[in-house]
Amino acid sequence: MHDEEPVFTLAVPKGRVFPEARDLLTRAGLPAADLLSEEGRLVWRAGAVRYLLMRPRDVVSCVREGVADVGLAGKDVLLEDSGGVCELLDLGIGACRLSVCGPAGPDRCWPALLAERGHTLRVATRYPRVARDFFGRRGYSPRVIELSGAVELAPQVGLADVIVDLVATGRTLRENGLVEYEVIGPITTRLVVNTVSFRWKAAAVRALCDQLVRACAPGRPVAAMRGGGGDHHGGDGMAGRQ
Amino acid sequence: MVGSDVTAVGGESPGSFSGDFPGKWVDCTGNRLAAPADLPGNGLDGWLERVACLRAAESVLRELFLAGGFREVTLPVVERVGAERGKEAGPHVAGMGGYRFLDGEGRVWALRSDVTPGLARLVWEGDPGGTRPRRLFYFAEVYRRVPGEPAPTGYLQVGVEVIGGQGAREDAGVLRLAEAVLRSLGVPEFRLTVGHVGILREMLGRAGLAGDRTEAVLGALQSRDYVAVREVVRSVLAPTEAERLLELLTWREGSVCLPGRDVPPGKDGSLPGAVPPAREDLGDRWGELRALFDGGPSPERVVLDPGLVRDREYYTGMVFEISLPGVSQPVGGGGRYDGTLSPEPAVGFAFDLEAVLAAVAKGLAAGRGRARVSPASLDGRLQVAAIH
Repeated sequence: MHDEEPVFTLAVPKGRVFPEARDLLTRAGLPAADLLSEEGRLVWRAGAVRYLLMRPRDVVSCVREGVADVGLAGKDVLLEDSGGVCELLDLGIGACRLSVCGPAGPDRCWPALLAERGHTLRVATRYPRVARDFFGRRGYSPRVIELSGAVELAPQVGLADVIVDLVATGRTLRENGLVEYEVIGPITTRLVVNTVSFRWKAAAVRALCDQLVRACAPGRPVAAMRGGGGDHHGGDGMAGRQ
Repeated sequence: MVGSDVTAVGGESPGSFSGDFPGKWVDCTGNRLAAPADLPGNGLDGWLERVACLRAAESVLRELFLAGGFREVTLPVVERVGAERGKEAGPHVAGMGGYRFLDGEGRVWALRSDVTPGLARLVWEGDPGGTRPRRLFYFAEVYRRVPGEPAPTGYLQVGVEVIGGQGAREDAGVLRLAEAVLRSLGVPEFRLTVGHVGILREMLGRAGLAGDRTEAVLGALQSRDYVAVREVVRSVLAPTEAERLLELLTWREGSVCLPGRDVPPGKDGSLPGAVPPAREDLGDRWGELRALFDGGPSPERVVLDPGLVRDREYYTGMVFEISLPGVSQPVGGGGRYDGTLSPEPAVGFAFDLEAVLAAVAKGLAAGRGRARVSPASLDGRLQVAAIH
């Protein structure tokens, strides 16, 4: 039983990044973090911390709405919609990249594919805003088809010419006859905080940052901590990976 | 009954307000926009109580503003797109982030998504060379597009503008007025986080950041991406200078110093904030910032965040935002916008009245604070309570 309000509520992503997140929180010394499990209870109270386990894509929404004060969110999700949260630390875990991918062929690039097919480029993705921004900066206005999963299926069935999605090892791409055309950017997990909690729970957030920075340090390149591109160790992506 | 103690907003009686406001679908005259079938959870009674509560709050605020020498202004809810001064694209263009439509002659109009641009234009075009400063206030619905919402979302925005007002003293007066507004509505706890975009730009330039790098840092600060702030600063400056600047803008890794409430304003002339800027960081702008805090709101209500950036295409000097504990996003804010909406200097602020009143109701339910206004009677009469 906990009679007192938790000092802060932390949203933790389930899925492929979960083991790394749990290890990091455990190294940081957060209470009972090693007991976190994807199975069973989704709300945990341990000492002054309340943990919420949820889908990676829901972390940012919960932090924005103030359900959680802080959360571990993928940069891929933040690129799509980061309003209402502060991005405090690059935790270096869940490293992968967001890329434009398409069918394997002699040219292996999307402009060549576009020239060959002679119609408006069709892009399937879980990241419509990122895709529109990326192609828009290059002077293209593609037709973006938003999917919620199995994006790599789209070129095979004629739904899209290319996809924009996460890539870690590239195994899933190869299995589906796709290759990576162009990297949009590196992706890692970030510590995010609600903009109001950032003001009103500054001391608690500051202590958490201290703990996480120390936990990130052993054996991890500084560049990864500081968001300088990350150590692409082929780890799992955020909301799924190729 | 005017002058009596107020009835607590707690939902004990069928007609009283039960906590959260049930919805935001009302136009500037209080008429609902949604179909009757969409009436929110509290039904018609809840809706009527909501409108009554808003009108009572407006009465309290109108009294406050008039006493401060402000005059009320109203503006059309529909604006002509293309009548703005300045850049073609930007947040101050009519209908940006909202709704636009064509009339029969092909002209583009927009539902009002912000009040300040139209108000600044009204003063500049309607009274060029007239008495300054003009102190104005408004209660106005603004309409914005919210992803996932099927229809325009209306917010009851309350704001004040001081058109033609210059100097830190005027800025401090606006901060004091913001505090008075929140106190008058009975908000139990609130904080004004204050920054200064003009001084921040100078600080970045003095630290050695070129123009495009300064814009990159300001952009990252505006989107609250402190990871990107560190990346940019460290890529440009030598380590010692970079860490000194980051200490002011964000915090130091390993020894995190977030702007926060922990350090009260110093008696030695220092400014409130976890990492108060030193005089050498501010150069000859020190006095300006000092005046802002000396003449501003109560020290326990204000905190300095040197890295606070709000819409940088709009604000040019002092900026601030209002945050309440337990409310997930800032409920309002403002600042100085000299020459961006009209050629004149100007400063002002606006806030979401419903969000503030909802916070008051939550505070009352939790036993904190006292209501200044509430719909207190079952027969629909409004009560404006005077708490002494």
